Amino acid sequence: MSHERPLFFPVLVFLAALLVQHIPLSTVAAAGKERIKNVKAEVIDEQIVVSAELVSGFNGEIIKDIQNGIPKDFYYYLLLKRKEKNWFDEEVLSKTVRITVKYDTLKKQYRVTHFEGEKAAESLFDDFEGMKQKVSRVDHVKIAPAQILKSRYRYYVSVKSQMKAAKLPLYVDYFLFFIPFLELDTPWSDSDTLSFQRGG
Amino acid sequence: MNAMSSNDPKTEKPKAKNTLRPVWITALFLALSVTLTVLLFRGIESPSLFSTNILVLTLVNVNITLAILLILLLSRNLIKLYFERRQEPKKTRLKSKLVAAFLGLSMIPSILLFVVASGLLTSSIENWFSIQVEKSLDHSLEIAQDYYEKSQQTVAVYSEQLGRTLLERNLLEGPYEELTGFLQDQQQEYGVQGVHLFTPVLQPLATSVQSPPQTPSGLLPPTPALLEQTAKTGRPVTSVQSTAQGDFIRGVHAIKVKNRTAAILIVDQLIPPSLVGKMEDIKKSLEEYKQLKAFKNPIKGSYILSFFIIVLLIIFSAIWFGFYLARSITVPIQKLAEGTEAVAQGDLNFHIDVQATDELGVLVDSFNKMTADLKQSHEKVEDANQSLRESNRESDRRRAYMEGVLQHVATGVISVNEKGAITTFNPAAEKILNVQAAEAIGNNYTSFFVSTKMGRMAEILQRIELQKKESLEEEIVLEVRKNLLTLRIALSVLKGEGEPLLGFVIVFDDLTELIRAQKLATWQEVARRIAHEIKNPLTPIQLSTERLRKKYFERSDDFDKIFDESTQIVINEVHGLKMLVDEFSNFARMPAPRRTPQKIEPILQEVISLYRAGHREIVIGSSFDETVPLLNLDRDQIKRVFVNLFENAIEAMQGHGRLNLMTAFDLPQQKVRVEVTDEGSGISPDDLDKLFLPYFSRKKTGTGLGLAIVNRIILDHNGQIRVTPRQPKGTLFSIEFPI
Repeated sequence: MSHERPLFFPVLVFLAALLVQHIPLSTVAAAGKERIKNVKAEVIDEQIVVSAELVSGFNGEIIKDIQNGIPKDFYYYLLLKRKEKNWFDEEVLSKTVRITVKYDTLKKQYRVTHFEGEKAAESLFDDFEGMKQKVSRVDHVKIAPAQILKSRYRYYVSVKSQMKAAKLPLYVDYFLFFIPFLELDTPWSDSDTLSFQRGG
Repeated sequence: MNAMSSNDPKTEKPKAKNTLRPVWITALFLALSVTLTVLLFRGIESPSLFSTNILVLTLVNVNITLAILLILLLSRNLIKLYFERRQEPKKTRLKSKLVAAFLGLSMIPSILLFVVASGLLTSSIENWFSIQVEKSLDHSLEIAQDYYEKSQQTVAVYSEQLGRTLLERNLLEGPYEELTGFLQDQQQEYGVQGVHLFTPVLQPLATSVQSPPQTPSGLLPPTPALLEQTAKTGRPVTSVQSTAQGDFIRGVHAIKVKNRTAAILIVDQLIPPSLVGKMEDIKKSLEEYKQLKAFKNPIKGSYILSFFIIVLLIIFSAIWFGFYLARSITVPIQKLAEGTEAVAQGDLNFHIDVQATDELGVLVDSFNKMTADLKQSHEKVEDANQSLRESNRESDRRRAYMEGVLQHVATGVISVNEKGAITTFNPAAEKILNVQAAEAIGNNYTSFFVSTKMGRMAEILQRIELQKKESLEEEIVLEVRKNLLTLRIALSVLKGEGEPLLGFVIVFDDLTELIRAQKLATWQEVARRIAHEIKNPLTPIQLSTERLRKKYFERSDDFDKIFDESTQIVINEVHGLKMLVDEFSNFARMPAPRRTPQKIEPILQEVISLYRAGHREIVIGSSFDETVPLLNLDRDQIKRVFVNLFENAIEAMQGHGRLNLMTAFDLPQQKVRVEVTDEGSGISPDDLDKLFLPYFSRKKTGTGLGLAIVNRIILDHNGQIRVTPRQPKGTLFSIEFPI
């Protein structure tokens, strides 16, 4: 056992972890065709509202899992960012929208629950396409009041979508350390610069 | 165990802590990552401002790196061992064997166990997800689904039939009672939960529900999508609505008259909660099964990976233990080897600081003790060497001093070794004997002096050897350069411890000039005394003769008387002179002693007896040492000596007092001492050095030659006489005879 350079191995472990993260581990490839498109950010009624669309978010494995009754959570991360000149853009605030889809194999219905903060809205769909349409969009989601915007800065919104594996039964997840956490992971997609009346 | 060489021992424990520190730090990192992973898996979904993608992946994958880390550590240790073995094969052989043994002993069963366990696990999991199980669940769900479908179909048929009947009988336009009665009849006939009739804008027209009513108050109206669908197709559509009272299968039928929706008919069929629950259970079971099945391979992989990690842990532990055990054995052995080399090179300060409680510890302790003892011995040897060097220096100084003394002393010094060879011949000896040291040194003493016609020098050595004496003193006369020299020789035997003979030392002085001077002085003194003694009687002779002449020429009346007196005086003085001359002749012609070995005590006893008988007022005491050996004595002369001493003592004591005679043998000096003590008037200190000179006397009568003769006799016997005044009165005469 080496007794020199005592911090060597912990650092090695951490670096290895950072490197290993780039190794694709999931058979359900997280790096797929899924993208966020048509990101729109606008100020409506003194509220910053965001709309976006998930494209190619439903691959074969996800569809199969849904139709087997496995609940899936689609997360939409909405970040309001401030542009900086010579530095990384500042993240002002963020909001997460979670859309859960669960197919009732008995009644053959898709139950879509839309979580936005404390609010939740549930919809039932008998057809896949209806459900897919509902799940693949965030429509006019209010993320913040427009007052937080400062006139001297320029803002935009970044949107990303991920889908995590749902909680597994029988505490199996405690043993599945190596299951890839993300079945779906889109790159960040930015909106155009936010237009707002610079009042102050 | 802990190793120094000074490798410090005391540092072993801190070193052990340092060795484990990276392990603890690494474990902490991993534990932290695992904890965070678990927390995230539990559904903490707060989006951070950071990219959760990287964080989650990092945390998840760091768990995989646990296995990589173990493999790395294993590989590192093994590779290190491999290189150590290549560089120093002898020093790492035992370590390699131990590690290999532990690795083999742990790896084989671990791998076997891993394979078996993985196989068992795989087959078990495969059994869990067997086709039969899946089929059973699928079929169960299908049955439930069929039931729902059937129910939906039934409801759809009922609603279509009911709609048709309503149109055929024109009940929509008819009285309300007839309509509701019809609905009730149909509801009972179909056995459905409820039949509801609505206007196209969903205003209630008529309702018939099962009694008692079980329809929940919150029953939702049909969705616009359903209405649109039934209106479009003209056929009933069904939906399932879940409530607390069970699932309602709803058939919605838009009744059309001339392509216009005249009414909306809803037929509700209830599936009771108990049945719903069972079917839900079936559905849930299948969904869970499907979920699990989706993760079958990851589950398998995780378990196998877990087994693999455990196997790696076991192997790693075995290797670590092998290294630990090897280190605990090889480090002390290496330290011992280093210590041995260091000690061989003279470093006795080497100390092995290895803490161990086993046999190696005993060995190390023994080694340390050995080096400490060696160091102590070395220091003692050093001290002894230092002392020896100092002694040598001191010896050298003394030798130099002695050589200086020998070089400059006026006494001749010759030393002879145990083999009889001359080893020292100082300058004084060269001068006295007229011989160069280089000619003498190395030669046999006896043969050298015989060859140089100085046989008398050789004889004295032979004599001491024959007589087995420790020392000998003699005066010899030697012819050197056609001159006769009188040498006073003292010969001593040199002996070491345990009496081995080391040699002889001959020390001699040239007394020729001294004797000549002494003789001259003595003869001068003798002549003076003779002149004095002769002059003494001459004066009265002269006076008497002059008186006689005077009276003769005066024709004195008392001439006859004067003639008689004067001639008597002349006769007396002439007689005295004659005695003096006779005594002197006797002294001068005193013969050399004829010495024979005999005891001195009988002679002394004879003298004592002689004087005891004649002087009863004198107490004569005697003390004779029985150890006194035989002496070479001339009996008559020795007797004469003690007679003279007794006479002087008795005269000094004026006929009464105590006279003591004592003999003693001085073994170290090899001399016999005889002491005569009296209680007489004593001798003045001024006269002590003249006492033995001829014609010296404080007595009114006597020739003054008595003690001179005594001295002469003693000297002829190679002895020595001394006189010491006694206190409070008396005199001690001490005579020493060599044996």
